[in-house]
Amino acid sequence: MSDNREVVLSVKGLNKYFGKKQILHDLELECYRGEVFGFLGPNGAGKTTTIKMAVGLLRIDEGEITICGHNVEKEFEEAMANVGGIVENPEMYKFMTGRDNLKQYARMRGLDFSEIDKAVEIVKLSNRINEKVSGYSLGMRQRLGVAQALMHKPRLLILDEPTNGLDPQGIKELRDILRQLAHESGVCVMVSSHLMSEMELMCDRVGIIAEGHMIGTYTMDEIKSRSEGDKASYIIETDDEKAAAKVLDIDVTSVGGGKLRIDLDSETARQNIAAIIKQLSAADINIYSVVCEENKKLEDVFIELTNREGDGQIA
Amino acid sequence: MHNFVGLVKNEYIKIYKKTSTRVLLVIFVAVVICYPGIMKLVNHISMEEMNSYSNDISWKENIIQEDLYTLKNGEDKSGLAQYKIEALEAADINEQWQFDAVMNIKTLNKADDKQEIQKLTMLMKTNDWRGYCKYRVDEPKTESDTWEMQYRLDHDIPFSGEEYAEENKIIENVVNAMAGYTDYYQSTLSSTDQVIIGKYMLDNGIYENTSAKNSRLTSIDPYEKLTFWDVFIRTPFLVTGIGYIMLALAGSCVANEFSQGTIKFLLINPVKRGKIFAAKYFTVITMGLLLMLITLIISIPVTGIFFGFDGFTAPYLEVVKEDVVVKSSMIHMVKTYLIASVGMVIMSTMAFMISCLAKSSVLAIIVGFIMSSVGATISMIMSSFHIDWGRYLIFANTDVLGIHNGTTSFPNQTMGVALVVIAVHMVVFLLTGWDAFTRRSI
Repeated sequence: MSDNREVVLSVKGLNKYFGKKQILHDLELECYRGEVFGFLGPNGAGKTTTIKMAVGLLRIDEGEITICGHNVEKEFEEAMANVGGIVENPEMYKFMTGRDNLKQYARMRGLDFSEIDKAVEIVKLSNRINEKVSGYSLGMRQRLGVAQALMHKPRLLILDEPTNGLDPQGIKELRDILRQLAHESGVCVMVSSHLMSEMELMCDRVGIIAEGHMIGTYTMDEIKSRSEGDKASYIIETDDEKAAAKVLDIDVTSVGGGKLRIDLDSETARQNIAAIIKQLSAADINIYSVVCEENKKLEDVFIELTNREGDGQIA
Repeated sequence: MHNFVGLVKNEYIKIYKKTSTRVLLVIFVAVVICYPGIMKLVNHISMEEMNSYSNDISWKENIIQEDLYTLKNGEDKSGLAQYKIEALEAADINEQWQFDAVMNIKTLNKADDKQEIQKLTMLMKTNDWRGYCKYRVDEPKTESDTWEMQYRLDHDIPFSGEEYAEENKIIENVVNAMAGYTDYYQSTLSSTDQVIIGKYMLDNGIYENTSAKNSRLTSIDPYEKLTFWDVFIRTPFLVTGIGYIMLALAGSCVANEFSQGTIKFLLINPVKRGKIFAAKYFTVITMGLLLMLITLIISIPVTGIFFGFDGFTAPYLEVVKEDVVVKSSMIHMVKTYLIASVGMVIMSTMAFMISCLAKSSVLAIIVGFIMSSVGATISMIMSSFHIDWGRYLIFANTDVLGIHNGTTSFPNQTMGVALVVIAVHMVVFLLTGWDAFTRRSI
């Protein structure tokens, strides 16, 4: 997927001020064809501001954003023809049915109404599409929003916190839809969120933003290796922890119930744990289980990366 | 272009799908349908009342009896009492001209008037209205009088009779106009124009003319049987109602997108904001025009049902350089509707601008409503305090129909000044709204 590096969304030197306060600082970002890109940051980091500028809802103070090579400000119509999106909450015309709402967008984009049924089928809203939106749950409105965003087969799909209001089943379905769109149809999908755990399963790459600064972009593998750190902990369950501790000539911690905790250097952890198991077996100690504990959770990596000043204040 | 059509279609659908606007439209159509019915009912009641008076000639009888009593008791010092008594007894007061003649006789007091009285008595006895006309022509009193009598002789039109009712009505109008007296309920035409048109109508056998009809709702003659045009010509008052609907649409069509949160979805489309702005404004204006067309189309058959289609083809007669030009009344009506809508278009444009600036439909509608209802009053107050620059304010220039008819609070408002003032305001409103809408951060 990442061997195809065609740039769909490009953000260069983006600055934004609200009054005297600078919201974004020289933001640089590139999203590629065929990937799901996670735009990750705590509340108030500038995710929505960036997205709003990308779709022309906010004016760009400095820098430029291009979509499929078209400048968002100078060639608005050409750029936006390639974009589908949801910004903030999926608010639709409540007094109309879901289908009538989609017809509105179909007319604006010069689409055939048959595209509506296809999009609705994808988000699994077919059985409720002829009901008024006033009766929809947040999850259903979110699905309608996604249908709206992808009905014209955009090359860039921008979804601002799309999992809001979705149940676990809905999140899984959305994840499948987005991954399929990216990996099979070659769409560039940009998803913003403040939850790393959500991004983990959905994204190929994440960009992390905090207080208006781009911290960096990482592939999911890079993030995972960071989470592993330089130490790996193993919990070994034996029939006699004291005997086991005596046999081993390294630092161990007894955690009770026949369990021992062993901290190893992550680089050589695999060889060492195998040797330890052999050693214990040779000493005739029964081993019931060996569990590797991840040293840091992804969420901790995220917090560490985004907590710049360390005061935990909302930017 | 197909893009713009789609945008406008979207706006119409948004208006139509909302229950509140549907209710508003239903109420409006109900008013349009009810108006001729209400007019019919009111006219029917006042006509009943009038008939019970007009068939009653006892008051004329009383005058004659009183006069006879005075004459018989010798209180008339002219020495002509016996001739006058004879004349009074001969008069048939069912004939208006004979009653007029009797009233005339009462004023004759010189000795040599004897012959005149006898002559008139003779005419009354033989009911010779032509003789009476000749007598009046020979004894000229006023220009209008001479014209009337000569006309009756030339065209053989008696003073009464069902078959001459139409002619007599026109003759009466011409005579009144020649005397410089115009009926309050009648036209806004000048008296000289009325004379020219009246004579033209008599010469060409036209019995109804819509240019003579006053289009103000408050100027209906309660004691005259209303015809199709009397009612239909007044339907432009419904344009005010259309104006308020336009105001509500203009004030809400942008602001509601913000309050519903749908503005983001509207603008994340490959359509420039300017186009969306234009489509929304276009929708408000065409909606107003559409409602006017609906009003016209509904009013014609409904008015016809209540008042009949007599005189439906009546022309609109206009005096151009002392010559009468025959025009279509329907086209004149369409023009009147359009002129009547000018004020409302301006106020709607202002509400549209506020809607873009303040994102508040309530503010936009209330300001628009106040401006359109208080504007005329402000203009009147300024006029009465002789603050002459008030005539250049928009309030003094929105009533194009009034300026055309010369009935504005500032005297001598000219159409040219009005058009300039209106154009300047429209441009300012639209540019301000457009700027706010296209540059706003969402």
